Amino acid sequence: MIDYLRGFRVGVLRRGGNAVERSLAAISDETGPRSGPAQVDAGPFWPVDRWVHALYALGLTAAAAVALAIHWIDPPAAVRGVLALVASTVFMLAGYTLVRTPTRRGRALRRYLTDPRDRTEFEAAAANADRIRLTWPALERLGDPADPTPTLERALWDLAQALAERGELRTADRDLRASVGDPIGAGSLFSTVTDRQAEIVQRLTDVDAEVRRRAGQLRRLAGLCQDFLDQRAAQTRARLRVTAAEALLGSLRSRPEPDLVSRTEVVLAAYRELADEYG
Amino acid sequence: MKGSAVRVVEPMPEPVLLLRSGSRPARVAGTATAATHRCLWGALAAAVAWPVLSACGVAHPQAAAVAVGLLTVLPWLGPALGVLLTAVLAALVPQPYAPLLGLAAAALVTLAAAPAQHLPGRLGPLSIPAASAAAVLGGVAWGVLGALIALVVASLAARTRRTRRTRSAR
Repeated sequence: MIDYLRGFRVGVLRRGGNAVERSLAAISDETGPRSGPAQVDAGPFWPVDRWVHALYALGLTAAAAVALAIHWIDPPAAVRGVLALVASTVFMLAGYTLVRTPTRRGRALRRYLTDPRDRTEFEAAAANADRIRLTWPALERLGDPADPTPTLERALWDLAQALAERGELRTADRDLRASVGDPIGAGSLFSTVTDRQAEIVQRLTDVDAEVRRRAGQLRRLAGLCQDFLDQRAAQTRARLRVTAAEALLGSLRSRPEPDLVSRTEVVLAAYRELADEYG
Repeated sequence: MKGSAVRVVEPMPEPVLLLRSGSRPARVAGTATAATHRCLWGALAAAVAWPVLSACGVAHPQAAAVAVGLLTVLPWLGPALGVLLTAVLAALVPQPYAPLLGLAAAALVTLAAAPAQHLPGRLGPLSIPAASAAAVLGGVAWGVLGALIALVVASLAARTRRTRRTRSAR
């Protein structure tokens, strides 16, 4: 049971595997078919970029080899069209199999989070966690942070569990509503069904609030990290402009000290709040 | 956990930035979007290298152009190697002005492919299977130019699909 859950957790949190597998997972996360609305921000996802271009080049090399081979055979136009269709279909099918096989994340996510809305919400939270992870190294020289990865993973996993529970409660609520509409009479069975439905709705409200709270924490911290990056970039631009202006005027005025420390403190305070919750 | 030493488990890459035209702010793009733009860059280099190499009299210009495009897709030295291959192939042609031809071919490929580093955001992300399938379909039908057109159309369709889904969700 523990191994089963650990496998699910690895699948859901897309951890583990080598660089190629993580690269494939990252590509699949951005481009793969989603049954729900695609509201997830575009990456960047886990650190995998190094391999992605090489993988694309590999796929294009195979495509070019097939296309050149068909050109070399030089069949009639109709046969060429058929061959092109067959080759592209084979590329699609084989490629998607290869992309899905290493990580199995999509399957794990679909099995664990059955409701497409829950998967969309989890993807948004995962994107926020990615943003925090990518921003965090910029803070290490300025504050006293810890490695955020375990805390973020724990937060994401807890969110996934809450989302899974919400999905099950929604299904139960839907089934009970259907039973209320069925001709079951007005006896004790009807009152039992309505009672259970009321309990389910109450529990659903609680879980919904918990999901919003957990997702909101990640979103807030990611926003603060983004604000920190924006401020740092703006200050860098300002310093460059001041340097250019000083060079132009030929003066030796002292440069203003950056106000990054206060911004860092805000980000770290939000992180500590998250770590206290899940650490 | 609080107060412990800083420990970065994996080196973090810089976010992939897609620069819009002019001085508009850069937009953070996903890995697949960046890689798709890179594939389009390579296809454009191949589409330019094909007529250039053909005009220079290089044997099998289409295959050579495909090699130039594939090299351009690779990170780091890939584009430079693509331009170098174009120059070498054109310079090896047995003609009196072969070195000049090689230089001109390399310059043309560089000039044509350089703007492709800043592709518009309307070109959306394609997965590796989708990019390969589009390249095969277009490449078999109309050669290198067909592959470029197919990749552009598929990329635009991917972005349109995502935009439509997002709007319908709102």
